[in-house]
Amino acid sequence: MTTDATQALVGSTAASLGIEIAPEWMANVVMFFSVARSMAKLVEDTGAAAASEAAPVFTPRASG
Amino acid sequence: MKTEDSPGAAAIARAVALGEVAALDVTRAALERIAQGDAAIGAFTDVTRERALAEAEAVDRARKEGQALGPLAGVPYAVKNLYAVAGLPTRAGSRINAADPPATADALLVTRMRAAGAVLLGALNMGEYAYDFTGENAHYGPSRNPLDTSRMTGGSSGGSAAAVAAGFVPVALGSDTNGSIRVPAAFCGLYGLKPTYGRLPRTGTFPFCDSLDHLGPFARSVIDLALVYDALQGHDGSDPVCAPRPVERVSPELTKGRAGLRIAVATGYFRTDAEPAALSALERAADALGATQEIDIPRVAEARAAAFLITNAEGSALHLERLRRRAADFDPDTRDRFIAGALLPASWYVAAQRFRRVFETTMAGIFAHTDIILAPATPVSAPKLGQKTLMLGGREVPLRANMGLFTQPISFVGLPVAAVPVREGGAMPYGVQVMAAPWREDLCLRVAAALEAAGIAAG
Repeated sequence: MTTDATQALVGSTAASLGIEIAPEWMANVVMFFSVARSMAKLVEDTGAAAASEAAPVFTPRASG
Repeated sequence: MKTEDSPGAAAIARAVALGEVAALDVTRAALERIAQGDAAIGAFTDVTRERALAEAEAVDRARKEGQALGPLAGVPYAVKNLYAVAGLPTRAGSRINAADPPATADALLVTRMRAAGAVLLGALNMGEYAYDFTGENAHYGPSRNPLDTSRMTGGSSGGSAAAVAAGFVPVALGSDTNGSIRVPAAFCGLYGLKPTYGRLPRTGTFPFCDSLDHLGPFARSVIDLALVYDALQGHDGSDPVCAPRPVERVSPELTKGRAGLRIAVATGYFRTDAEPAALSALERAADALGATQEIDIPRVAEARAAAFLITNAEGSALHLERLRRRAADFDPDTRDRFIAGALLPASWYVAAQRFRRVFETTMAGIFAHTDIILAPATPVSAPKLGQKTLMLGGREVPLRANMGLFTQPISFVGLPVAAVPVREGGAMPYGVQVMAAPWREDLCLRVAAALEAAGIAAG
């Protein structure tokens, strides 16, 4: 994904969430989003994640 | 300020219990040290002088009346400013929260410290909303490393480490989501404990990332660390993550040493990007323990990546409304990461949570035949304040993203870890992580005590 495409994605997703990104913040936000994407690729590439249950376990509590 | 002038928690509690010193005098001396020294360190954001004097007087009164005193009677301490302290806004390192109404009650662990006889001196500086490994803060200034004030304390519990390393207090409380106790403990030459995920209740603290948030203590000795940890234990149903486990006191276990423990040294990922002196420190610790077994834990980089994603997504979701309304009021060093985290696809977060279960299974298999794993706490010693990049493995990389390289994968699956300082000559210290299977804080602290007895913390 190119930097321009990432910036477009970041800009449109932020707008849909109601977050305003000042022009001078954009380069950093795009950089951090790109870092997260590289982290996600590492995790997804294990293939193991898709075959496992998620870690969080919800335990309903008794009332009263 | 020399820490030799500032007695440890165990010594204070013993002297107060015997009537050799009044808690009020101990408290006044600590307040005086803060008044004289903190302008150069930046550890405290709030000093609770009147409360401290009142708590100390209550301890002295109880002793005179012949009442049983707690194990921390008269021990001064302070807390990272994400712990609620009645009468103070819970800043969590931010300018935004500083305008919140003051807390009406203490965090549960503050209540437990008080019940043990400890005396609260105030709230401590931290990286904004705990999203930090440096101890720097755009709103309140940096906490400065007392060993060299031109250097970082590490973060995000930077004020907690600074207050203890400067000798203002013998012990302090912090929090650790990805390394925020272990990194500053390493940089400031202290002992720190990140207990098992779910061991200590987080009730009354401002969160960062619910899936990974832990609370824990800092100290200058293992016995002080253990005494505080013992006082903090106990289930509380208000924190759904807190495990319904009994109090398992560790302070009576410390003298058992490393006998009978199978200790391994982490290789692979944990050696790739560490600078040579960090590896020498690890080697000294291993030698002191006679540890010759090595272990290359698989998929550590993926564990660190998954911890990064969970933190980024959950932390940003927590602050979504603040990002919408007041993004310009964030510390610029946290703001852009929080904004990026708010935009992550849900599938990345879910994959990371699934991989958490995979990695937990991996670590459980390893701990079936190993009791303790040693690893470096950080790849480097304390950087200079303001430094933005690091040289790791011959590459220049962003500093903030890489200080938690060795701590993040471990807290990712909630393992208990003691951070042990290693000093060599006059150089800045390094830290060694002593990790064990879940709920075996006793083993972490036994080994930490063995390393302390071997003298590696003193250089």
